[in-house]
Amino acid sequence: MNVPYEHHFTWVDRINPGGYALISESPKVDTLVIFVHGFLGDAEGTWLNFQEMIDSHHARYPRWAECDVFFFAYPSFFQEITDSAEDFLRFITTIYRTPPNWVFSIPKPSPGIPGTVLALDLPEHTYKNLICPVGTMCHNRLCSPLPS
Amino acid sequence: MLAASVVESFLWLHLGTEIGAFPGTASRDIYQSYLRPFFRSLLSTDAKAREEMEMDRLYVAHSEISDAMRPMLGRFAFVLLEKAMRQEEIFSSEQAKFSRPERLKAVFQTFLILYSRLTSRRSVELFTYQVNFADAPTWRQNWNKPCTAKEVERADIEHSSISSSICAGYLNLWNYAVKLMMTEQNLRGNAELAADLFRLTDRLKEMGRWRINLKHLSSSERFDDVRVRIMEKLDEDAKDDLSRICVKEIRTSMDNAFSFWFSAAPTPVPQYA
Repeated sequence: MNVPYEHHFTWVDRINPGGYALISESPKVDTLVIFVHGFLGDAEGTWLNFQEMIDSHHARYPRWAECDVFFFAYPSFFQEITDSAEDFLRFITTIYRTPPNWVFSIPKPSPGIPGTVLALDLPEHTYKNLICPVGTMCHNRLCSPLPS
Repeated sequence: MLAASVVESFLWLHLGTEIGAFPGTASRDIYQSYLRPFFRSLLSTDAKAREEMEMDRLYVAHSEISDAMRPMLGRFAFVLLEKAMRQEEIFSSEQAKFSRPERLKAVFQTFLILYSRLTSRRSVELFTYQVNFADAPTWRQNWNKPCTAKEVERADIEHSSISSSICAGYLNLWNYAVKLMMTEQNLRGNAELAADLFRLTDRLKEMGRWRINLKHLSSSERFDDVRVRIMEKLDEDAKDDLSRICVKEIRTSMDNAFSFWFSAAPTPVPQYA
């Protein structure tokens, strides 16, 4: 079965050193998903296999075709958490110019649940939705907070 | 080393084009504009050798640089290198012959992300150079300088000694090998993908092997030196039972990951006690 719309990988080093994105070729993209890895992870390893699964599992999770997916990188415990948080906010506001209010009061994710949803919908922009799963290892499954 | 890096990039382009992850037209344009002149430049400057090649009495007039790549590259890669140096069509040559290449696009991207992040690290560049290309006195001078765990930890984010970067490079290569292995293992259960996935990972492993060229004695010994020093330092720091268990886990993981990477190599990776 052919994938109707694929995602194409690109680094986003200019706005986030070490970060990268999988950009959908669908004309119906309306959602921005930003994955944030945990303190002992990294932007590639924490989401290992996920990069492949959003296209290979399109039949079961077609909603992903309408999402651009960013993988935010930060230097883990090499940097103060407040600095990392500020980097993250700058990153969001670069891509999503008018972020929703919740972005500035990010709730603590529930422990043990990978891909905790921290997001809402936001109309009137290229992206209508912003979703930020916060990371722990989820190698073998889609930790999708999106409707399938 | 720079030439080997460019050849490696070309191999990724070749593989990605076969899979369809890179558009064929764009790949050929890039090849024509950037890589074709590069491969031409690898030819010997000896006029007689080049004439022999033009008369088809010599297959390729190798330069010192291209000849040095022979033991570093796998068979398919060296065949491609020679064809490229002869300015022959290369995208239809030495293909992996996947049965359903379109199914591999996404997984190829995953591997590309992992590998390009690995190779962007300063420590990996230094490790690759020092282990494979530095002459013996340079290697000894750099490697014999002691370094701390803190320096190794920060080697990729701030200026540090070459020996700490070599250790960090080794750890980054281990990290990559683990991820490569995990990705392959996670996808192995997919029956319709299995044969193609095996071909793909086999090719990727081969493409990256020049960074730890175990076919070359000095590279192999230097690789072993780095590994032994890291394990000794970990053993020294393991003061309690829990730490010793962790060190044992790390040792096992390193053995498994590097064995996986070198599993199809003509010279098997040494098993360290």
